[in-house]
Amino acid sequence: MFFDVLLIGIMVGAIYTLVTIGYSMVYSILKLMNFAHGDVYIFGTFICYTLLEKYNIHPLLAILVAATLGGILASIVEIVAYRRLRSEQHRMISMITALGAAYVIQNSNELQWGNQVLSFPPILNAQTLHIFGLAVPVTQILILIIAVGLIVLFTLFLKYHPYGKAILCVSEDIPTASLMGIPINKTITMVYFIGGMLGVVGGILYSTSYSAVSLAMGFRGTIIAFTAAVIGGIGSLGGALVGGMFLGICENFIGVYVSSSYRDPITFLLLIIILLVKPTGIMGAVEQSKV
Amino acid sequence: MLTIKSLESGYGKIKALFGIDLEIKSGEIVALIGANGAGKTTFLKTVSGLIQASKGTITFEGKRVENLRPEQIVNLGISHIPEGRMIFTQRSVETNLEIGAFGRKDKKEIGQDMEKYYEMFPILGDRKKQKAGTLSGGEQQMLAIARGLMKRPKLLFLDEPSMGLAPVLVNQIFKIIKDLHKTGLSVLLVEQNVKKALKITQRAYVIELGRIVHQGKSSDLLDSDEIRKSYLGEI
Repeated sequence: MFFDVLLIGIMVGAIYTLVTIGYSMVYSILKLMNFAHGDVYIFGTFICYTLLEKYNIHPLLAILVAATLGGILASIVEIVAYRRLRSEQHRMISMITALGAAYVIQNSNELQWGNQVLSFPPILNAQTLHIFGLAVPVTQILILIIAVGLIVLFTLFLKYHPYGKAILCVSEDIPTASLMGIPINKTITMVYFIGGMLGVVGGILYSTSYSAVSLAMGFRGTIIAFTAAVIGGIGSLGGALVGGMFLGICENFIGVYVSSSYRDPITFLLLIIILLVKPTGIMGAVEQSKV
Repeated sequence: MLTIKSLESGYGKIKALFGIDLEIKSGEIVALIGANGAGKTTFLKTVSGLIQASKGTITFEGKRVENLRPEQIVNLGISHIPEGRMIFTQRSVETNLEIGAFGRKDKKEIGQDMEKYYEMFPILGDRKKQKAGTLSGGEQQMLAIARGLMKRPKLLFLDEPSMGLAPVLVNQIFKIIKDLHKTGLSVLLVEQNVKKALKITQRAYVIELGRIVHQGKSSDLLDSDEIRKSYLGEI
């Protein structure tokens, strides 16, 4: 029982990490709370749902199309709602347009897919294997592999690809990055695109493991990403991983051993306690101000 | 090489440059000197595209560049090494150099250039895997210069390279700048260390409150009573 809960906790944690990466990267570059993040991810998940239910498309292709469309939507939000307002002095303004963008996407989603819980089809093999008398839940392990694989892939991209390094430099210092010849707008749009894509894949994995997708999961996605990013230390990849895992594991243990109705209250209580003890998050460093 | 005519710019409604004319010929090393707040950094930032010019023209190698973005200007061949070095402190020394070569496709030659600068600044070679933020001020300045050179620029802007450095390092940095000029690089040097700047440059401009008030041969300016009085604290 304990290990089942732990495994599912880790799986949910890996999914939360995927959802958090985009949110946290955007924050690290622009110091912007991207309120539209969760609505973009649920948009992509709905697209995947429609492709699977209505058009019977191969799951892999459906995920790819949905993630790409999610990435494009995230980029459009950046170009239309944030880019012109990008300024050190007026961060509040883009915060408000972020909220606006979130509502526009949320309501469009509602027009298209309604606000009921829809049943999401199983896209991964749902059998349980029995090895040496242990029940191994194949679906959960597959989901975990996909999620961890994407996290590793993104980490390698940041570390070794020229544009990955460019993203890290832009997040450290935009004017100096531009003096290096890094195209700032293109790099930032890329962050939104990748963040949106990873978020959508996270949303699809989440929905398939709980066999459900609903409009409300969009807002919850934003809250999850925010909480995980803050717990782990906002702005860093390691922080997203630690925060996502923490949330996923906590939630599952509380849900199973206490009560699922106390899941969110206790999780957020932990958030408050962690922030009181370490305001920069578990992995967060003290932000140095530049002179 | 670089011709600037009646350039004006500033921050929002606050104007900082009031019609600057300046020229740098190919292969020249030129100083821009002036007091704090005179507009030296604003001038460099305007030419390299970090600040939008509100009036005037900037022509680099026959091409008008005043409306280009910084990443476009650096790709034309002007490398701006900013005040305060502004290295990427969270990244390794190596990554800082690699990012300096951003956009260059000649992988092999990038590697050769990096080796060249590790040789020129052995301390950078020793510490290439370390976070750049762990370097000392002088080492960071060397990294900033090497990073700016990774683009293989034709013209180098140096903003206060000696700021905050110990005297022995100041001499070293000035020697490096002199050597770079000898390799054929054109240089515009902004400095508060007026005496040293005038000694290693061929020509100089003096900026006061956003206007050029003197210009001429550096050696003549060094001898001028007014410069010695206002900037060298002599007489």
